[in-house]
Amino acid sequence: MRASWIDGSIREFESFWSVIQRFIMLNAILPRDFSEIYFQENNFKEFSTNYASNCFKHQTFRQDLRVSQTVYDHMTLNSIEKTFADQTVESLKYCPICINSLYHSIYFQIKWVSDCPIHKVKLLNKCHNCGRGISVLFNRKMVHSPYCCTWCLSPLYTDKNLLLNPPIIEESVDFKRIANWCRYMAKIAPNYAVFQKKVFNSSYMPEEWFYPLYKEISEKPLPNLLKSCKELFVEDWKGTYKCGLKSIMVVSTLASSEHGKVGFRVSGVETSTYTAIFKSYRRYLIKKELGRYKRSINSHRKLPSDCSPTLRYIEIHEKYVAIRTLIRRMDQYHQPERYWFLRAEVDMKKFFYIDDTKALQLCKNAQEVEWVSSHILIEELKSLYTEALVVSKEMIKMGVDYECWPLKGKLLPCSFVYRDQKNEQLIFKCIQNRLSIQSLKVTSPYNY
Amino acid sequence: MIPRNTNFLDEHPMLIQEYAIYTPAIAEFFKIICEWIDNRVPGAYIYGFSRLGKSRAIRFWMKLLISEKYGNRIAFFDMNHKNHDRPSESTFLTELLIAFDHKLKSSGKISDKYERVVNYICCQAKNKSTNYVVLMIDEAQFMHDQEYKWLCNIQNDMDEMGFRFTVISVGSHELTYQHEIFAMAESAYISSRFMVRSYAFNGIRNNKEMAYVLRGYDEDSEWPVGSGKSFTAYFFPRAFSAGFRISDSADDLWEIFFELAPMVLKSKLHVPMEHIAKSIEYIFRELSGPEVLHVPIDKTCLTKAVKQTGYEHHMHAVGLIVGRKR
Repeated sequence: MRASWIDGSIREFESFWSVIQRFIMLNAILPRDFSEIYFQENNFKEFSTNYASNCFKHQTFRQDLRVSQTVYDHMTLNSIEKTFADQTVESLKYCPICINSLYHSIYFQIKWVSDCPIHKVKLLNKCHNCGRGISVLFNRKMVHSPYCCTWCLSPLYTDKNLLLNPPIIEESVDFKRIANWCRYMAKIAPNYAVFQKKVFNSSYMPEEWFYPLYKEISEKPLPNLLKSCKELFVEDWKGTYKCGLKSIMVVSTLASSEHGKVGFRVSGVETSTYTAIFKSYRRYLIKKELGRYKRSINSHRKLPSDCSPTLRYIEIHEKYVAIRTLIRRMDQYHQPERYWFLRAEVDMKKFFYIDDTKALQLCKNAQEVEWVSSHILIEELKSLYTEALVVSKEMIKMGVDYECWPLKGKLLPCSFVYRDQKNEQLIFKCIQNRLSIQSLKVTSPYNY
Repeated sequence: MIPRNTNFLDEHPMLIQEYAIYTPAIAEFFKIICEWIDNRVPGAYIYGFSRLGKSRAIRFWMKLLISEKYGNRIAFFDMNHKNHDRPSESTFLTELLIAFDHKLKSSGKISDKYERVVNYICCQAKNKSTNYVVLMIDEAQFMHDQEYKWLCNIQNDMDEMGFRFTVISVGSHELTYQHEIFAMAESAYISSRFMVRSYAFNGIRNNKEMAYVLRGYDEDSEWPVGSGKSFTAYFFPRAFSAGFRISDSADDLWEIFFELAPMVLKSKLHVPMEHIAKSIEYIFRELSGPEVLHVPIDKTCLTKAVKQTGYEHHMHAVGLIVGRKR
């Protein structure tokens, strides 16, 4: 048995919402028929067309559309549903020009997509007639009045004849970028879910999932073992370092950046923390990029919001370098005792809410520093996953083609370290999610 | 190769009478249809006395022949019209949807069904990258003027959308009267649209055509599929190897059919295909066997085979109609 459908009429990135309504229009199908043919156990249920609901017989519908599983899967945002559900909207967002071609893209339903990638017009989220929001829920109303406002039932299209001649939709690079973003989100979703669920055990270093994730977001080659991380960063360290209270000269190279190989210098005064090194480096970068005088540079306590992605990327890169520098110094100068006297502050709950520096200050020897800094890296990666979403959106808005986007500077303090009073062991704990971090009102350690 | 019903693949097609031999009449029928298709006529009709093999030609051969000749350039549908005392648009549209094997056959109001029919036809045409659709309606002698009017609506709507729609009605000789009735009555436009062209479907007209048909059993048939064995070879394996061919009896069989036909039809005899097929089936059924080397087919046997098909009674009835018409 067959249903009316024009083969190959599903246009690139067309949404399930659009396809199912064109199908309804072509077949003059009724809710009762839908229940019988396409719903499990003949039970009509409302579902969001952004995702592939389990109550719907997708296999049967796919066969009626005569499309491959891949094409069918691209009509929904199912791949990112569970982990990134907050990235989509449940009310219809549509392009006023596209809708006349009986076309609606699934990517319009992503929260941060505000303009039509094809026509560069603002996406509308209200009915042109009654001004109310249109739902993307598949329900009886939709079956009765396809491609219409769910409230006033006025059609969203102007020419019904296009149903049999669906116009070809222009290709857009921006669509590809959003598709890239979705693919990336789908790729990281399983690991991201692990991050959300995994509880760190103080005595257990989960290397087997640290490395794959590290590879996901870092442009650096993947180290085989955690220890080789050190060598890896050291390799990047091209300059010399002088101990003592004298001025230091730091030279590093970036293997990959937007402009190819870039070398830069960092100068500053040695302190017990890398923060000072980094601050001086930041000043250097701002000066280099913005070309402002020293006085005005000093007033820049934070990176300007409009600074280039390269600058942000370099900032993060240098942060890792700085952490590793500390470790290297401790090994090199055999001065683990110099950190003996350092103490972190104790809060009301008897835990140390610390930044990286303070965590390192708790350490008694190089092994502990290694252990803490590795955990810090993991925590940073964890935060970066969250930040990756934000950054990727910005990248798309800026029109940057990315495969692996630059990392954003502001990282959240997701973890804390404290020393067990009884056995003197360092204990590393992490805060589970953003919400609990906010409720604890911990400020970012990178707010310089 | 003889098209047959794929629902009964395990049974010999001759035993369940689910096959159709290619006949010269089918060749002519197809030729005239091709002419109409090429001219994009809006409508035409084919008539002929019952049992000549029109329905089988449509059911087993038309789709195959059209797809062989035109490939994907034509969307072809066939439907078997059912007789109703009082025509109803809803029923008619449901029948069309059933003929199309549409997923939603009977649900909805008339307007829903109508939209479904038009969209389905247009979608099928679009899927074949053509704007031309042919609908062949069998048993069209039962069609009322109302039903033609509904077809007219479909044709008009499709025309507006840029699709050309040809309706070919196939039915018994009553169709010719219908044409005249429509032409005389207020529905003249139906006649001018759907019945401008016509063609009379033929039966088997001489011994040469008879031999052509019987050669179908000897050569152009196969069972089981892929075995290379013709129907004759299947029923008479030893005799077939020894040179037995049913087509050798073509002249005798024609003579018998001629003799048994009423006087009034003899001058222009059209032997219905059904009676030929049933006669052959009888012979194959009665005389066949794996060990049979000599098949005792003589005139007596052939006469018995023909008579048991009810040929005489049928032709007598036809003769009466022809006589009345003259």
